[in-house]
Amino acid sequence: MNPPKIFVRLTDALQLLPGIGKKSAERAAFYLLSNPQNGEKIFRSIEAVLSEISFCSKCGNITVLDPCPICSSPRRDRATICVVEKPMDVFAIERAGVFNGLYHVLGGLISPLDNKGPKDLNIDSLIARVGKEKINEVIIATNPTTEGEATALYLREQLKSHNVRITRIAQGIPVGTDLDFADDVTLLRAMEGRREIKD
Amino acid sequence: MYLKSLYVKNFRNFRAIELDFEPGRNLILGDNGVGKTNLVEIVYFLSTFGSFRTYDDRDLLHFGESFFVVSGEYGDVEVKVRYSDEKEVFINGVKKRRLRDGFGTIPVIAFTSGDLDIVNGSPARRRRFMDIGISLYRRPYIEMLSLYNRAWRQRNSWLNQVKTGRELGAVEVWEEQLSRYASPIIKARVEHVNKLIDYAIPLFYSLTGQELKISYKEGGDYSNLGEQLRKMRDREIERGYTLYGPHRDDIVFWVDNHPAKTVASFGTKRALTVSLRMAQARILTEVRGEEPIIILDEIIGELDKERIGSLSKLMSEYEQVLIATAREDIRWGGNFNVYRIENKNGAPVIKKDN
Ligand SMILES: Nc1ncnc2c1ncn2[C@@H]1O[C@H](COP(=O)(O)OP(=O)(O)O)[C@@H](O)[C@H]1O
Ligand SMILES: [Mg+2]
Ligand SMILES: [Zn+2]
Repeated sequence: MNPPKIFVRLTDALQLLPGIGKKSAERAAFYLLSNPQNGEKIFRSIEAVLSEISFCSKCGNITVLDPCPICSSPRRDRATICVVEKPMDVFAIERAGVFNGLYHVLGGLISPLDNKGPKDLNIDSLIARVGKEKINEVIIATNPTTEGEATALYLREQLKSHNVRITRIAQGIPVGTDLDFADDVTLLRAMEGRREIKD
Repeated sequence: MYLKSLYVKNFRNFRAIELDFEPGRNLILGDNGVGKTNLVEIVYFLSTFGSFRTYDDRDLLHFGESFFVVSGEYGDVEVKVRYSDEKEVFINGVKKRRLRDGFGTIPVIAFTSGDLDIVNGSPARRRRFMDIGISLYRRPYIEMLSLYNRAWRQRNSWLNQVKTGRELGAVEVWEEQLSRYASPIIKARVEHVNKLIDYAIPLFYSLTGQELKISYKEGGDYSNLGEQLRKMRDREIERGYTLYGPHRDDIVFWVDNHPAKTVASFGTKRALTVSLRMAQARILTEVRGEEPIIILDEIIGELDKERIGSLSKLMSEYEQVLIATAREDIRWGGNFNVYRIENKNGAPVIKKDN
């Protein structure tokens, strides 16, 4: 005997999620069945997110209002754009309070292994912004992985012909870390990214 | 630095070991199949977090078990590796975020019967020989290899997609990264081969009286790899993978001007692998300023008396040497600590001679 059709429809749907295979989908589906209150809670939040949250038409971040609060704020430095891979990176930088410019969220990185080329990312909209708005500096803040570097290289090429300063965030020793305990590549990168001490 | 004590749980045929070692020469004796190689394999594993006999860590689990723990104490350093599904490395009790951050903390060079594959095996086997040799004294090299490898897979995936009609774009960024990561890899390999040449050739001559030549075979046009990748793009699309680069490097050995792989005798090949390992041990001593622990697994029994004599002289330079062999008569002048492994009701028991 097969499981009821609507149950199979649920497990099939759950498998559309990244990183969820058949086994975990079945486990999740049984969980929802046996914990209906939590199932209800999850159902409501998905519904709310889908109806109320969208992508900012300017920067690509997730937002309830479009344009997002950052893009529409009069207090931000509108001449600097920080380019990140995903919305969570924006929130991390905002939590730290170390940046007062605008953002641009790529929605991923260039990665043929994941079927992603430049056209699958918000790159055209970035180039358009740099052409249209009065931007002085683009800070590329993708991760220091192969894909993050590849994306940074691509952006550098695309932005080269624009009259804009292109920078890459520095990588180095985490604060509070003894040099003794930093791994070798962190040290290597910190050395490469060294700068003069000014007074 | 030398291995002072070893603690083992569920590794190969050992359920549990607690064993002390001494500096100098340690002889591990026992009949075939009792676990001599398994014991020295642990010491090697504590250095490189891999075996010299298998690529699959599951082979190392005591039959039917789901985890093993090995740990070694070396003066004021303790290295511990725990395996169950995943490998975790602890140096002095602190877990390393990634395995490679602890790689080679204790340098070990192992002379094993499997070393013959360095001569007889595929280019991949020789690249592995170089890569582990280099990583033991230059850890960022491991990171470069992994970055290169990732960029290589990305470009191959790009080539394959074009082959099936989907043009993703931005292939240049992978080519730029391939050549960027290739250059420190190539530089390190050239240096390593040059040092192998310096040390292995005279050693080989003293063992065999024959002339050895070693050459590094480049896997691409290293005067401009980026340009080569660009030019070859169309041909590589047909093949579906990146042809040129350090992933194709090789080393070639010549004995008296004949290629060793196809022409040399078994004894000559053995002398060659012994010379290569000896050279790696010296390179480690030179670059790190500390001597590796030396493991000799069985190969000594394959050599004739005269070569055993030369090898033993070379070995006396090292602070600690572990020799696993079934041959009691292998002892040469000087002191040995002797460990005997015996099979008691199907389980190995290790005893130290007084
Ligand atoms: N994963 C394992 N679990 C239990 N026993 C193992 C395992 N792998 C190998 N062995 C046993 O170890 C023995 C071989 O040990 P080895 O160290 O190669 O012997 P030698 O003393 O001849 O060097 C064999 O009896 C084999 O069955
Ligand atoms: Mg053996
Ligand atoms: Zn916005």
